[in-house]
Amino acid sequence: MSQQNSSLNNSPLTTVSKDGAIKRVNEERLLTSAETVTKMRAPTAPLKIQTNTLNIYYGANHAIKSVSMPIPEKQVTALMGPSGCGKSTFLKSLNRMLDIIPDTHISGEVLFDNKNVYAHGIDVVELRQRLGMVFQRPNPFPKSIFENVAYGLKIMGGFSRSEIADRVETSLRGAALWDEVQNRLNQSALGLSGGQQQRLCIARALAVAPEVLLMDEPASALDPIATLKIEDLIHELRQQYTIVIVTHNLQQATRVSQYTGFFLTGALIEFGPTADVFEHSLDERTYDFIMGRFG
Amino acid sequence: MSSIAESLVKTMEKQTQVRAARRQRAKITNQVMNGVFWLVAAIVLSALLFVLGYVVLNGYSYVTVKFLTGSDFATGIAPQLFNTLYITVGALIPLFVIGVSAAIYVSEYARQGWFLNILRFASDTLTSVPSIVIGLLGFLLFVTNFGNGPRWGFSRAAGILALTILNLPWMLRAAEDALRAVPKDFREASMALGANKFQTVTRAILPAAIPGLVTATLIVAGRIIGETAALIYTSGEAGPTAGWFTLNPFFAGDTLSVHIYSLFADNPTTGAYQGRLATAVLLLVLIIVINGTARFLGQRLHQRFSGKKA
Repeated sequence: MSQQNSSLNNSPLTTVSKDGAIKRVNEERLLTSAETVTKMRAPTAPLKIQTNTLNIYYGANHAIKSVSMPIPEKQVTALMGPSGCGKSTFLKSLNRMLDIIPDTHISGEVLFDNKNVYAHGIDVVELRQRLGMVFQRPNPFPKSIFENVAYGLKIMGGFSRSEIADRVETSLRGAALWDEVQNRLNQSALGLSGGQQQRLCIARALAVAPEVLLMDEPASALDPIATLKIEDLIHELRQQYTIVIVTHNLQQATRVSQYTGFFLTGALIEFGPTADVFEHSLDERTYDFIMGRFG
Repeated sequence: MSSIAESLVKTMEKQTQVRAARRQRAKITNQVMNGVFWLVAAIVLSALLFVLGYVVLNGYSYVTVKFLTGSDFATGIAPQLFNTLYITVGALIPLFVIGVSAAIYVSEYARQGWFLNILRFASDTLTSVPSIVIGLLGFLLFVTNFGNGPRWGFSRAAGILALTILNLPWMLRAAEDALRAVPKDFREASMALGANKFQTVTRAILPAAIPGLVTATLIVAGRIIGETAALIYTSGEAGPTAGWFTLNPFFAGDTLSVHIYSLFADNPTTGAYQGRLATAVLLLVLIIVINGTARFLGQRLHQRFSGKKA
């Protein structure tokens, strides 16, 4: 993979073709290339995750088409595209949350710290703790605020009561929620507002000390103020975590992310630094989407 | 011959008339059907009120302290109250354990396929088997040794087992509904935190489903309390003669419902009419209380998941 990285890094205009080989292409070809060829402006930062010719099928439905995408470490990578383009599916494939959906078939690889998460002998439980996930709708358990954050630690086991209390506080602070809830940790999490619930879900994910946070439209069910709080939080979290965020809000992508991948009908059309993707799209479809012509 | 324009105008006029007539007809149909549905609803409600009113108005005056605490055949109901409680709780324990376990399997573990289809078919069929047939099965299995001499004889244990078999499909279906009512979000959240399936079921899904499972259990409790035919063959229809207040499951004993039948079927003694009515009042009150509690808990469940209350 390191070899691949260096070649990606050396050539700002490359595509990753269906069989995973990397080819330098001229700009003219970029405008007419086939659906599954990605216009790639490779990241300069070191990579945390790299997918190689990832294909995902739901039954006969080809949901993800040969996606090869780098995800740089301690950066925010936004996945954008119209509804049904496969961006959520792609996100869920990274921590193997697709495993629980019946009749799903996956080929290709997802390299996480250079190890394929779909290889034999991978501990899915450990994997999901290292890649935390935040969902579209805030989904706290109908338990107390404390119990929600402690859930993952109790599942792992082996923590003392005081260690758990410590980590709960650290996580709630990390999710910028501590000040609002420190006096009511034993009250039901369902009494919190939507925005607070979503930050609680972030705290819950942080509690098990992940390296990556996968966020599936984390602000789409929230009002604008709660959304801004989540976005501020994402900026904070980037210091320590690699973040992948699915969004169909273009402004949000520009506000929070350093890299952007544009998906369309299951294919990764374009990937690159967010500013470049938005200001100098290499693909007409990316340009059209950003200009609001569809999606 | 008229011009095309004239013909067009005529056609449009005609269409307007037809549409107006249609709208008028639709309006009338709507009003008539409103009345019909209202009438049907009124019939359902008045049937319930009639049964309740008839029984309660005629019977409430016979429900006295003496009747509630006495143990004579027609003038005392204490043994039957005790037996009803005993058999209901006794049957709910295995029903809850087996029913909830099976529901967890069906809703969380089982994959769509022939095994699940057969299970559903068996369960649905069992719900339509007449309860007296289950009673007969209980009689052959537990009361006698398939007709070859006695096994336990008429006993509350036999009644409890017959009721367990009879209500298992209901318990399974109700518990499955309760588990499926737990939002999918909780499963995902739990799995994403590294929980395996068993941890997800025990720590996330079951706690969230408790109000629903309690409701399910109460609905089944209502069915058990009302059950008669399956018990006549198993726990017996005669009130216990001596030592009825015992926890020994191998004693026979009749429940409130069975008692109403006994008071009708066995040589009507003095006070049988009053006894029947008073017992029916008790039974109705019990069932209303249980159904009311089930409804209340069902609403609490909804609040819990929608987060309307802290």
